[in-house]
Amino acid sequence: MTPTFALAIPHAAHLENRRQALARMLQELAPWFPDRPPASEPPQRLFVFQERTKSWCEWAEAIWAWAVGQPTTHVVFLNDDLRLAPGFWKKLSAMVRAVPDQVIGLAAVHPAARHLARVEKRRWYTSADHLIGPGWCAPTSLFQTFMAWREHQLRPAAKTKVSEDIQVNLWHIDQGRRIWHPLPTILDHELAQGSTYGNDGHLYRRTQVSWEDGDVCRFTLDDLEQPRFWFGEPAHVGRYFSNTPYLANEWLVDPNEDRIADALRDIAVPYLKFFHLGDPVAETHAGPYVPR
Amino acid sequence: MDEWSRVPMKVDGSMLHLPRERFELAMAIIPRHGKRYAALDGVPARRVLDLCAGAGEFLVHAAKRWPMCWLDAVEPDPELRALLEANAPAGTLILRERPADLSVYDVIRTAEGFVAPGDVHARIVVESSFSLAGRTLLEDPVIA
Repeated sequence: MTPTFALAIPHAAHLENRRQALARMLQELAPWFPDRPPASEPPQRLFVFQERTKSWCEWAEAIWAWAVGQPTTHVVFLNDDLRLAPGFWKKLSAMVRAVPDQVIGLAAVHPAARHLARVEKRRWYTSADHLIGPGWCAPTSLFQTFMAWREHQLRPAAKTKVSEDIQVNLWHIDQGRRIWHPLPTILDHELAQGSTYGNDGHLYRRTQVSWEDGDVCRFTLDDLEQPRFWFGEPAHVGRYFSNTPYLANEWLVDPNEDRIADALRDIAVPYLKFFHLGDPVAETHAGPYVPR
Repeated sequence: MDEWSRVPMKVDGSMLHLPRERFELAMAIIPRHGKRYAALDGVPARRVLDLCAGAGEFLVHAAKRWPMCWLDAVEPDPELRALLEANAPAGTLILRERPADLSVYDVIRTAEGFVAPGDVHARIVVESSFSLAGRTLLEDPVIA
């Protein structure tokens, strides 16, 4: 399978610094493939959504509605405030050749990520609910499954009250799926841009292990473009957010209590010690879990 | 090291496990870490080496001071190394002996006599200790 990608970027075009950042990103993303796929393959696609909306849910609806109909093997969602690894597409292609059937959360910011990459020498970790906004990739068919699930299993109000990345996390919890995160990853926040979500003080906003850490974690940029680099068992870090199971109970039409119970238990104790700057898993939540 | 000889201590949001005999020392110096290492304010560091890591007190401080830095630690004592493994921030590489190439580090913390002046191109934090009435105390470090 030659991976092909449809890329959607929600763009805050009303901000000058974001316009500059997007221009730089698009320059980095082109050419899409130095070695282009055969002509028989569907083309790469790009959609930049730049209408100024009143809330995030409008742009999320727009880019998802576009992505779900794309003929590519994979869909990719990137924010417009990122630094990208050189050869981004080649590296992402190598990843999806090794892991072709999973959602890949490209923002690998878990507090244990550095330990996993350097001490355990992992290429991946999986999480129950740690897909976050800056960048992710999914097989198009799987994304279509998510969108169908969203129509019948997510309460309508959730589409405007639960952020778009948390919706994807709820789907993973409900289906017992895991999100895959690469070590190292190939994007990072451009912090100088500032967050349009008010996330500037967010813990672990930076990528923990990036393509620039090859000297420490012993890889080269070329290694990241080889599918064999990405083979290997992931470590599972479990649930990151304290409230995801509670949100599932609140916002799913028909919550699967077994899956929610699994999510409540899904805490990787050996890695909790790395939450030394704060512990969102152990911190307070809405109270005891009460099934609806 | 059994449970009685280690003392859990929460410092600036981090739970450290320290040897009981170092507890008083840690109580005295850890809250002052910011001042003790004030000479490092504004010093960028991507790679930090602690040549006398002990239970990892300085490493925890370094991880807060430089959140994106990579940490290496040397601690030959097996009992202290066990505590170091419990305390070390994510991604810390724990070594049994001094690495051959020190030139890759931006900041090195050590004790007197471990590194000769001028043998690496890094900011060096030299700790010196002295004993008083049976207690080990740390002087303020020399930062070169």
